[in-house]
Amino acid sequence: MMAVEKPPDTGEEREHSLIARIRGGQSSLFAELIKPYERRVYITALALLRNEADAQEVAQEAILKAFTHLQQFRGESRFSTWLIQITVNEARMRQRKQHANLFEPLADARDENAQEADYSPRDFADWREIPSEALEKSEFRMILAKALASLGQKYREVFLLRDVEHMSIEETARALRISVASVKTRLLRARLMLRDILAPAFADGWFGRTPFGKGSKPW
Amino acid sequence: MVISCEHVWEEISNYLEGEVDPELRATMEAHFRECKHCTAVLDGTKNVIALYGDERSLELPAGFTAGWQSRLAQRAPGPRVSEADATLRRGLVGRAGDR
Repeated sequence: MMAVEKPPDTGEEREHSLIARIRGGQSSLFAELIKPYERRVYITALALLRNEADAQEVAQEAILKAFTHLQQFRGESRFSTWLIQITVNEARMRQRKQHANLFEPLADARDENAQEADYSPRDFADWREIPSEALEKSEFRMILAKALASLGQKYREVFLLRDVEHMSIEETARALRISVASVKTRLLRARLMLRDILAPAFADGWFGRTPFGKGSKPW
Repeated sequence: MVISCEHVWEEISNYLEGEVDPELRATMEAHFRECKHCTAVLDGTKNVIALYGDERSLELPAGFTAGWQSRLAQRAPGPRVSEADATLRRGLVGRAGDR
């Protein structure tokens, strides 16, 4: 006879209960456990790998690894932290295989200098309006994706985890195994660079502009 | 306390994170009231964060969930991955135990 389960009153308790049941053989519950984190896993993989197809494959592999190794999850960290760490490891392995990071060292010791933070905005276009409804348009999303892709890897990965996936600064630092100071510095630069790229295009209002033509944008 | 534009840019991210001390915050806010350029940088940076932070900006690729669930179904025989993918699994039953 199983012990009487008290109704889970927090997300974390519910998650622990799910994990225990999956470990106990109810593997059909794994999809429920993963559901809230699917996007986060994918975006983490995408942060580290520029290629969407690679990111998708690595993210799926990470989810499968989490299933296979669920017995090893000790509950010392949050499940999401553990899952993201698996994803980062998978993505790093893929990077090493592809030698994609040959010229971008993973260690950030050299980034600690002030030069990293020393970025001045290039443009002061007055971009006050947030064209939120524009996000419904794939053309607009493409512009955001291209702007993001134009950032250097170390800026892109920090920005994706912090500002797209809403991880905390500390979680981002842990996931990428870099210092909190480096996260802050890179985040500042990533945000300012994206603003520099996007502000001139959006300053007059996206819908008010003539259609984007190739060659008319900074990317 | 007077602050330069360069100093404002250095701190703008921390400002938006709520990680500057009250005195610096007040100084920056006074600067924003006077400086159009820094206000433009602040507004634009806020917009960047708001746009990319919106779930619609970056969606899961179509078929992502079905993809890993079918891979799991092929690797791990046993209970269904979820009720939702019952249809999918029906097509994989014959291969469920294969490696």
